[in-house]
Amino acid sequence: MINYAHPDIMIATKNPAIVTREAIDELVLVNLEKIDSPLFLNEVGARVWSLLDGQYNVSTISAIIAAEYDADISAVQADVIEFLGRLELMGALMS
Amino acid sequence: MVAYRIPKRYQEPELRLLAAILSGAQHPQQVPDEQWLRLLSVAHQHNLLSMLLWVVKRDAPELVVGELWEAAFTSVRKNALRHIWLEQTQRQVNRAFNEAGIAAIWLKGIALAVTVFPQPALRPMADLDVLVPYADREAALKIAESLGFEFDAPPSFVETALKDTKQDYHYRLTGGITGDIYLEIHYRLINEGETPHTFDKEGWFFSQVDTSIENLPILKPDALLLHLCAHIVVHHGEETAVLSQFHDVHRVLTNAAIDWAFLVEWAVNLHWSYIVEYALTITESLFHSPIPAGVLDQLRARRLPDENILRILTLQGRGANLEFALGLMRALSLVDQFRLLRQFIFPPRAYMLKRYSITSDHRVWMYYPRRWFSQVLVVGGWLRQRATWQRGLRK
Repeated sequence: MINYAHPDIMIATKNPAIVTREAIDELVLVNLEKIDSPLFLNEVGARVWSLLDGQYNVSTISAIIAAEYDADISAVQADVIEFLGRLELMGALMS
Repeated sequence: MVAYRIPKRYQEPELRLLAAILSGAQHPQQVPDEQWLRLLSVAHQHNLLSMLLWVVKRDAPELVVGELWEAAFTSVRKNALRHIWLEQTQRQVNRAFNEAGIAAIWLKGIALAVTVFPQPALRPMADLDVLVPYADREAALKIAESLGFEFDAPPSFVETALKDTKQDYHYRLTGGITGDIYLEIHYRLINEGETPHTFDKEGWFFSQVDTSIENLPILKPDALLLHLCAHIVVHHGEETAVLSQFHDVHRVLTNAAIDWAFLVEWAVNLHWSYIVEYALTITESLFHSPIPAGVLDQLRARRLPDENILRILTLQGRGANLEFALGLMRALSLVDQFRLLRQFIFPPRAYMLKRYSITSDHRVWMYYPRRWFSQVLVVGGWLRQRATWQRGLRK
């Protein structure tokens, strides 16, 4: 379980069992080990997903998203944490 | 020379408008608001809803608002998900064929989706089609069965009777990662009926394989285009074709490098010059596709005298099913011919319920006279059309 209460800790990387597919401006995520739980990401979700390469922590990802979308960083951080929780639930992240 | 017109079904205004938008000949902003509902419905019928959404989002994103487009978004998501399952299944089957030393070529949907579409999810796919050498068909079947695939339905008496004839061309199985994926293992590329030509077409197509995509051997663009044309026009009969099939041809024409001299040469050698001319003409008419000047003339000029144009022509109009049925009859024994005829005249109850959408408050027997009446009309239309074509060919 990843501790998102401390956003400066390094976050987990993507599970290699996750397959993605573009669907116009969305991204479909499927866990091949849990095939009944696909996730459809919008543009921002897809951007966060692209940043989950094991190099960025939650704070850095939130800062990047806030800068790119001109949004309040604390609100973005709350959304990112919630989003990562959903990804973890579908088994998309490796701890 | 055979003169033909673009069939009426390709002259419907909405169909042509849809094709024009997809090809970029018509800007979506020029479409009146009240026309979109109908246009989306036509796109859905012709398996082009996802492509229409993609084009309109690209060219006029301000139009993509409201409930009207919800079905299109749902369609794209479903296609994307389906594509993942099909791709995973395809890789699994391809690996197993590889390990057994069975050559395979993946045809149609999956080949087109990853090569000529902007995103694979924009090419809806119902099933997976793979061609294996005729000699390896039973080994390929056993491998698929070992992966959990099963026959979609028990073979009908017609399929059993056609076994080992030229009209025996594939196994249709179901299974895969989600259990509902159709896998068609083809051991003949096209069901052309009983042609007198002995050229090994499958052998030629196996010499035209592109292996640049890992785990996905597909046809090179020229061979891919030849196969698409033949599949539309002669395999099922173009009467049942939907616009998406011509759109596939258009995508290949606009996104792949075609060696036109090679294409003409092989269209002629395969006895498919008329098929290719016909498919390209309709595609060009609908999508304004780029076909170099002189290609259609060359196809006409170099056509071999023993190409069976009459069969191709009769497959395009009313009575195409009858043409197929007659083709089947010729390959069957007298007893099986009688059984097939009986099945056409008195189809089983389950077929009637589905074919005529019969509800529980209607009696099935009441629909048989209606069927016979429409069949008489079809046979009459077919005989008249066939005679017209025959006269045209003699001129």
